[in-house]
Amino acid sequence: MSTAARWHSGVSTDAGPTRTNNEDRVYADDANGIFLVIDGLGGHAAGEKAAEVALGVINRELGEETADPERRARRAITAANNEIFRLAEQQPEWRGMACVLTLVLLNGDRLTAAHVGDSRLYLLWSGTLRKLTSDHSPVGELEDLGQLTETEAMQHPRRHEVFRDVGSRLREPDEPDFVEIRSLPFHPAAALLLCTDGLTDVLTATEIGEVINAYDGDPASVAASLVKAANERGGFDNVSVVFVPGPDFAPVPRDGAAHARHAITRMRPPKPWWRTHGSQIVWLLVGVVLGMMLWWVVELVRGAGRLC
Amino acid sequence: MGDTPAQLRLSGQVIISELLRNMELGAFEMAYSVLLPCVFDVYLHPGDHSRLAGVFDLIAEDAKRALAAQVARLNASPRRIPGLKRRQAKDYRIAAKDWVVRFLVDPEGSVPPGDIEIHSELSESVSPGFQGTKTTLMEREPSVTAVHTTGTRVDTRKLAEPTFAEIRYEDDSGPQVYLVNQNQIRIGRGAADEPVELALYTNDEVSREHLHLRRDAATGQFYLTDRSTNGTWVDGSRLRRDVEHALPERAEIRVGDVLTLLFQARR
Repeated sequence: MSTAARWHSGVSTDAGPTRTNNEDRVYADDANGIFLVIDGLGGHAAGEKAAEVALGVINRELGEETADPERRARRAITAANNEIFRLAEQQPEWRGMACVLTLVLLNGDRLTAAHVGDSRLYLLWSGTLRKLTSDHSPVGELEDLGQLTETEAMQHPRRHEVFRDVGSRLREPDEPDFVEIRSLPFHPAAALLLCTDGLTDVLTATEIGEVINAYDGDPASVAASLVKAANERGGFDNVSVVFVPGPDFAPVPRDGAAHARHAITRMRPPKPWWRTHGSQIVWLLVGVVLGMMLWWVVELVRGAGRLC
Repeated sequence: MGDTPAQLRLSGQVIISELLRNMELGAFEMAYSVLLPCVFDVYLHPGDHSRLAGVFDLIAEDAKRALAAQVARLNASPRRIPGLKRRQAKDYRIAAKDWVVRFLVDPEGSVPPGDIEIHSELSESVSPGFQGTKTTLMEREPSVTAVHTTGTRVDTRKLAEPTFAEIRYEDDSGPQVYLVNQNQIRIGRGAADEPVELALYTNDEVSREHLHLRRDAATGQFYLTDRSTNGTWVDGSRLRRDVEHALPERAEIRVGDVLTLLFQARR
């Protein structure tokens, strides 16, 4: 592997305006094309520990392996997973610790993304931002299916639940519901953004695109601006980003016609009465029938008593 | 509703009742309180807008009173049924000190005379106050069906943006669906100095602006123009460059020798 930096990335991470500890970890190796964001899960110091272990193990494993990128990524993440699990078994205060992560390997013009959980990888191309990873969360799934808009997903009460993680149980590299891998060409005019959910919970894709389109050749300032924008929104989470522009990446000036709108409702004819009061009437009828039956039973019992 | 011409005439009562309805639809429920939208943009047909221009302040004032009264009603102690345990009532409130009601001309021509469209926000900031919190781990496997959201919003969103056509394709970033809701769409690789609406993530066999899709707003008919170096084919036959071709309702558009767009017009 060459030692000259092939890529020129920018990273930024911050605990956020309301948290004292940062359970996120970011990593960028421009010379070898390795980019990683990790978001630790678990109480107190456990989330931070999990993220730290994942970073260390993945780094070590990726350095040793020479297999194809997909295998390297799977093995490295599995090794991190099993190490986190092993440590959590040993120490009561680390019990249940885990993390979610997104790992990108750039090999020439080939991009391999390995992903577990709800951190994200975006591809920026000709001014449009597209999500390359699917969130392993119920809300993320609904958003990908088009059943929730981005705004609805951001406001959803269950948006912080994930159903895949690194570290909560032992795993095999090729387990089907563990590491999600995507492999695609990386064109020189494209850019990549890896981020934890601290960013995407408070900024829409359009807003993220706007910040990136202010790129002036300094990837570090894009990364810093994104974290700053997220913090200004007053989120409750840690925020981390890795921004990797391709060699020919150039921002596209914002289209003036687009304007953000939220919570749209339109005038519609009023609902018919049976739609609004239907259930009340049904219950009333049920009550009447029950009352009649009770009266009938009482009368029957009384009648029987009189006969005796 | 005595007089018939009033059918198309927008009344103040309608505006107020729609604002109230919108406020309740936009409620953002939290653990102990329910946040209601307090910034309302009311879009009107240009005719209605100019007719009412002089009295917007008065309508806004009346609307604010009605909104405040509605919040008071929502906060009033719920009727109690003896013996029935009720959950503790949540506090209804707004994120700002006062309401903001603005009247704007509908810029998209989608609001007919006598109709209104309301966009509301939870706070004065550009977007609602999203608050990120810590990710938590689920103890179980996914069950997507267990998550429900209010159907109204999804419905209204679909109404707000009419989709004229759908384009399905697969580029280097995977399968994609593009919904056409404009009358002019430029399609190609795009570039900083040549922005396109539909940016195909692919190699330079595809031109930066490869083809151009136009919809005749009056008839709904779509037309395609090839602007590329390497050519465009519709259902197997190559288009002449820079000449507009009428597009059938359903078409397979071959872009260079690289990818295929499946075009489907929507009625």
